[in-house]
Amino acid sequence: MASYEEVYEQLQGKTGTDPDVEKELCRRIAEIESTDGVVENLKKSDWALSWICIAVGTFLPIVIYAIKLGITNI
Amino acid sequence: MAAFNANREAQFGLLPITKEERVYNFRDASSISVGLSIATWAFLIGASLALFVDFWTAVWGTLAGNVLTVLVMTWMPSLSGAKYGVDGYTGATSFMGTKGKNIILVCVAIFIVCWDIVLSVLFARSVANVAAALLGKEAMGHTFEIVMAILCMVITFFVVWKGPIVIKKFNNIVAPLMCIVVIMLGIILTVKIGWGNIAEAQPLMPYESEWVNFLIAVELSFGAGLSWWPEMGGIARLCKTSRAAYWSNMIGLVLAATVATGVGAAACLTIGSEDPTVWMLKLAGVGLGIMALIFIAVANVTSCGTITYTMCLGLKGLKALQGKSWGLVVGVFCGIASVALLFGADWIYDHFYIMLGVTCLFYVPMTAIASVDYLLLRKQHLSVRDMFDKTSTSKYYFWGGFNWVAIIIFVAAMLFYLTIFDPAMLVPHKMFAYATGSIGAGIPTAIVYYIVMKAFVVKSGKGGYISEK
Repeated sequence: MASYEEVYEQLQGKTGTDPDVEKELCRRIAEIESTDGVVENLKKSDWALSWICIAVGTFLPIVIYAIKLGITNI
Repeated sequence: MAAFNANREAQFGLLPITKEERVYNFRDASSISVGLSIATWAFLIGASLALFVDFWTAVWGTLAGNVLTVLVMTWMPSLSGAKYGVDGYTGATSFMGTKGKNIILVCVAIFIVCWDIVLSVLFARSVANVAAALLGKEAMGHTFEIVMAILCMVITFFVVWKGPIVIKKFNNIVAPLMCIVVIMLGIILTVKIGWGNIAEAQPLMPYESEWVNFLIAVELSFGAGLSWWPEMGGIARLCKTSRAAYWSNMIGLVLAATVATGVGAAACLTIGSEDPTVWMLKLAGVGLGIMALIFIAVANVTSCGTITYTMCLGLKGLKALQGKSWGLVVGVFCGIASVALLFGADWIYDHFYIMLGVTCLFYVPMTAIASVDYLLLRKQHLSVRDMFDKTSTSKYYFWGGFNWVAIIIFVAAMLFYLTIFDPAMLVPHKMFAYATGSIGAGIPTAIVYYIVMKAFVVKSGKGGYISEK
C-alpha cells in the first residue's frame, strides 16, 4: 500500500506544479494507489454484454446488408 | 493570495478525482451523454448520410457504426478515467509517453475547435432564424450570424469557467427537452410527410454501388462515434462507478444519437435541406419551429460547454499552462475558437462530412493502440504517480518522453487508412468494399502494435509493462 510520504518522496519537484498542488496531488495518488483505483473494473458480465452488443448492433446489420445488397465495388 | 482549494483544483485542473468527489451517477452521466449526442450535430450527421443512403439504411448504418466505435473507443479513456480519476489526456501518457501525449492533445484541440465552430454556427443560425421569423424578415444577414456565433463562444466561456456542476445542471434540463424536440420532429415528419414517403425517399448523391453507399454510412457513423473520445475521460473521472462511465454512453452516444440522426436523415431526404435550422421552420411551422430552434440553441451551448471543459482540462496539463488560472485557460481556448470562427466558420460548417471522415483517420489508430495497450498489455493497471511524473524517472518516459513504437505505428496506420478511404473527398478505394476504412485499418493496427510491443518494448523493461518472463 502506497503511503503519502513514499509518493511525495518520489514525485517532489517532478510534477511541474506548485508545492501546494503537488502535496495534494501526492495525497490523492497515495489514496488511489492504496486500492489500485477508485472504482472497480467492469465485471465479466459487462464484457460479455459488450460483445453481444457489438455482434448484434454492428456485425449483424452489416452481414444482413451484405446478403441483401451483395458485396459490390463502386 | 487565494487559499488553496483542493476540490476546485480537482474539478478545474489535473488532480485525480477521489471517490467522495465523484458527482455523476448513471442517470447524470446518461443525461450528459444524451445532451451531447442529441444536439444538432446529430441532425447534421443524418444529413451527411442522406447524401448516400435512404432512411432505413441510414438508421442501420448509424447503429452499426455507433455501437462498435462507442464501445471500443471508451475502453481506454472511460474505464481508466473512472478507475483512476484522470482525464483521457493524462491517461494517454501511458501509451504515448510523457511528452508524446501532447501530440494527441494538439491534434484533438484542432478537432474541438472545429466542433465548437460547427456548434456555434448552428447556435447562430438557430437564433438568426428565430429572429427573422419573429421580425417577419427573410434572413438576418451574415454579420448577425457571426456576432451570434461569437456570443455562443462567450456563453460557453462562462459555462466552462463555472465548471462541471453547472454543465451537469444544464444537461439535466437540456437532455429531456432535446428528447422532446426529437420526438416532436419525428411525429411532425410522420404526420406531414408520411412513413411511406420517408422510406421511399432517394439519397441525394449516392455512388452506383448500394453496398458501398451503406458502408460509407457506416464509416461516417464510425467517425461520429469516435469523435467523442476527448469527452470520455473528462466525464468518466467524475463518475461514481465504472458502469456509469461505460454504459451511459450506450444510452446517449448510441441510442439517442441513432434516433436523432434518423430524424436528421429523414428531414434531409424529404425536405431537401441539409441545414436543420432551415428545415425545422419549414417542417414545424413558425410556432413549434421557433420553440425547437430555441431548445437547439441552448443545447448547442451545453454541448459546446461539455467538449470545451474536457479540452481545457487536458490543456491544463501542459507545462506552459499548469500555473495559469482556469479562467485564463478557458478564455484563451474560447478566444482561439472565436478567431477561427471569424475566418473559417462557413467552410467548416458546409464541409461537415469531411470532419467525420478525417476523425476516423486520426481516432482509429489511437483507439486501436490505446485499447490494446490498456486492456491487453497493461491488463487495466496504470501507475498514477508515473502519469504525473514529468521527468525521465517516469515509467512512461519511454525514449525521450515519446513512445516511438506507438507514434510510428500511429502514422503508418493513418497512411494505410488513406489507401482504403479518402476522408477528405469521401472516395472509397478498392479494399473499402471488403473492410471499410476503420475496420480495415483498426484491426491490423491493433495486431501490429500488440506484436511489436510484446516483442520489443515489454521485454526491454521500458514503459512499465508487466513482463511475463
